[in-house]
Amino acid sequence: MRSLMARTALLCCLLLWMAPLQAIDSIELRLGQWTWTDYQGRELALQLTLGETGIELNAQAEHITFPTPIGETHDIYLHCTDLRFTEGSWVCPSGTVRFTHADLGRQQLQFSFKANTEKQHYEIQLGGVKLAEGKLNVDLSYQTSAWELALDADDLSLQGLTPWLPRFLSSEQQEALALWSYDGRLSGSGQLTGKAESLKKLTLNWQLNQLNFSNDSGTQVAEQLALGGKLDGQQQQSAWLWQTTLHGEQGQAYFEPVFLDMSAFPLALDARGTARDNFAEIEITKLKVEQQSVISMEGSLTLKDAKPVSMQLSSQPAAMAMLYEHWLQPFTLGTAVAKLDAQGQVAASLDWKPSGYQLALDFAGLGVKDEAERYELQGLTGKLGWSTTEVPMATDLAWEKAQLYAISLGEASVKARSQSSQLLLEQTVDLPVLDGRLQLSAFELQQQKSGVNWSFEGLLTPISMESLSEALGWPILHGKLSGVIPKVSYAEQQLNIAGALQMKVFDGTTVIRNLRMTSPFGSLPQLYANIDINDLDLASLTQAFDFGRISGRLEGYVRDLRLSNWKPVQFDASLATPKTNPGKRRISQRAVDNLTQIGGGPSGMLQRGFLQFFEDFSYQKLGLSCRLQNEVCEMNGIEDAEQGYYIVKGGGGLPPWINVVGYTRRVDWSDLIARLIAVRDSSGPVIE
Amino acid sequence: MSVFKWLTGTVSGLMLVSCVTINIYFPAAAAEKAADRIIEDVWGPETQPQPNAEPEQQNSSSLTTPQHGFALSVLNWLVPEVQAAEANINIDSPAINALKAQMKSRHDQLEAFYNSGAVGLTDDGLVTVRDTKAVALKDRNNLNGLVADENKDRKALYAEIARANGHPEWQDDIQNTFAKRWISNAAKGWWYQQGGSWKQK
Repeated sequence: MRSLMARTALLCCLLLWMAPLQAIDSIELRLGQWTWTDYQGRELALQLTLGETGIELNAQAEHITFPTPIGETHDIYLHCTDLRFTEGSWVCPSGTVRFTHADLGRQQLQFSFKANTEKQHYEIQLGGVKLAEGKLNVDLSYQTSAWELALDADDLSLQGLTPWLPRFLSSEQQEALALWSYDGRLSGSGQLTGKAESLKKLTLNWQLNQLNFSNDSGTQVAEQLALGGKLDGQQQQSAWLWQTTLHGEQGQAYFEPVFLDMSAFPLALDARGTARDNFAEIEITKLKVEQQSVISMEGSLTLKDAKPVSMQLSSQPAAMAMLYEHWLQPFTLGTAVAKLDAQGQVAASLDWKPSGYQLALDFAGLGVKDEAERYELQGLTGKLGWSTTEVPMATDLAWEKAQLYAISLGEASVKARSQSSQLLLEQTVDLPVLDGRLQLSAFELQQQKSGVNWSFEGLLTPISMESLSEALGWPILHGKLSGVIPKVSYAEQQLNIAGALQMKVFDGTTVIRNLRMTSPFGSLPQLYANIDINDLDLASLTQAFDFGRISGRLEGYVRDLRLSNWKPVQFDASLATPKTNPGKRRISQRAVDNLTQIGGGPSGMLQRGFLQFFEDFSYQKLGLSCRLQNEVCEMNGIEDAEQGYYIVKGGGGLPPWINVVGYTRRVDWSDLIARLIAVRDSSGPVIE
Repeated sequence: MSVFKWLTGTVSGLMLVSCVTINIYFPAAAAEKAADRIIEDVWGPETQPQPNAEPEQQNSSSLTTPQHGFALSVLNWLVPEVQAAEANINIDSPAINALKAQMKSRHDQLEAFYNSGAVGLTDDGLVTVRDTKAVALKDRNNLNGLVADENKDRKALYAEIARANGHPEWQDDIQNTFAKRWISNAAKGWWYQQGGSWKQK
């Protein structure tokens, strides 16, 4: 800028000096060495020839050093056919200049100028500057320290501009830039207005085509982008008022982990604001960002020393499916919400300050479904508020249905309040669980550095075992499941359920305690529990499982149960007839047969001897225990037998009695399961 | 009386003092074998030097005849008796098999990235995105997702093997064993981390 003015001044200076020579036809001037302020010249030759309408000027120089940023030029040749002096101004309507420059190379430019030294008014146009494989036109007007500069750049290469950058960038900026590779073509026009050394107003229209860039690690990359924009700014008193637009309509970019496909989803930005204190304080009073078909946001932002100090943003309702795919999923890779089918709409508003923020999400008909079918939530409508500050935010949500693994949850609504990174329930939530209900109260959720943790108190009103067993794919059981749960808490990937769940099945009770789960949505969910089984009626149990018929009662326990991926991998279980309350104890031929089959023995053994004539047998006691660890079941019965153990010990009523004795103590668990399944699927022996 | 009390007290005191800590050492060789078997299943046999032969299972089969009177022993568990409890690492459980199957099917997608060097094996038994320059921008998150899922499964696998074998505290040892075995079983051309730098097989 300054240099251009200086160049104009130099030319004028030369011309003024030539003025008294008009009476002569031609004049030649040669200078060996020449210095003027920051300019130095060598082997300067000047020829002026008087023509019909004006003077023909030819000037040559071997070398001229201009002040930075132009620097050294060689082999300079300047020609103006029609130099005139009219109305106090020197005018050259058309001229050419050729020179060689270290960075610009050999140049041949068209120029015109008008100079009035008395009024300090200069106008100069330079056309066809070859710059960075492209062309640049410059139009400068200067009058008593007020100037206007118009630039018109056509298809400049970014790579070609690189050698010029050190002249404009600090060493830190240059170091940062050195980590990037880039290329692209820049075209555009700009009008700059200023006074002396300060810029007062500017308008820039620019277009970057075929833009490729990448940082060293390949985490910020663009390929074949086409970006365009406009920047307007003007200084008013101490502040700059500015306005800018940016649009990207072609190419792709990846800012880890976000992928932007501008061709499919064009991006547009519109912002206006002010800048004060030499751009130390930037206020964006209106910010609008739109990614077509994905999201549209408006807001404002204040930056101090390039750091945000406040931000308000609110979005139009956006399609959750698009929003999830483009902006949420990339941040959740490897988590429980990484693969969702999402639908419905969500709108967000955020009020942020460095000290904290308030976020409100408005849902309309939102549905999310885990692709691994672990959970599902449908028909979510209402508002979720979250505040990390003292300012409370309300939550009022309702959903139509939900699913947690095999358990379906019904319609429910939640009213809560958030403050200081906590969410507290304002009223009890009544959540339908299968055909029963879970009443949740005292729900609390906290966001801590270690992650989210939450807890609630619950009361489970009875769920029928029919619906539960159907949901879990068990044989249909009859009875009820209920429970008082003093506290369910989740922290650090672990879900703890205090209290007990009680199952009323087979005329007895089964109590589940110390229930806890780790990484419930991880690769291998782990479930731990202790189960006590009291006073089951064997007759209804065997009937339910179509196992033959055994009468009597059964009690026992399953301790230290661990399910990995919902399959038992470890426990210490024992089931036996109680020592007290003998009652009537009989076992049918088919039950004996099935027990034999489970043990790997042949079926139908009893039908071969005279025992086939007895439908059932009296027994004294029965029981079986299994300690499962590492896929091996350590088995035991109710009493040691010679080389083995009794599973059924005959006795009690009238003979014939029958003993079932097991010999193998260590049994492969998968074999045992396969046999149980075979028994379940077989129709059983036919008793004739 | 008090002498007796003193005596019992001292005896139990002595018993406490003489209480011996039994260390169960990590069965490194067995863990390596187990790791090799899993790696073979996940990566396929071509990258595996020598699969370990399964010990033949013995089927003991005997049926006792009715012994006396009406008492009768009919049942003999013909289920194979499990091999003696030597220092062993068991890796056959439904949970481990499920993880293995998942990792195997993911390997079909990851293999090309191992070959191209986009993904490398870390020295802590996981995988990481190494060089994405050859991966199209639109596919990068797909790759990141594969790597995140693979690492989640690998961590779960190491933890599950330790738990299933009754020693959750072995998890780190299992992970270290796997780290070595993944690398030594890796195919030619794959990249792995060693001492903080990348090397190619």
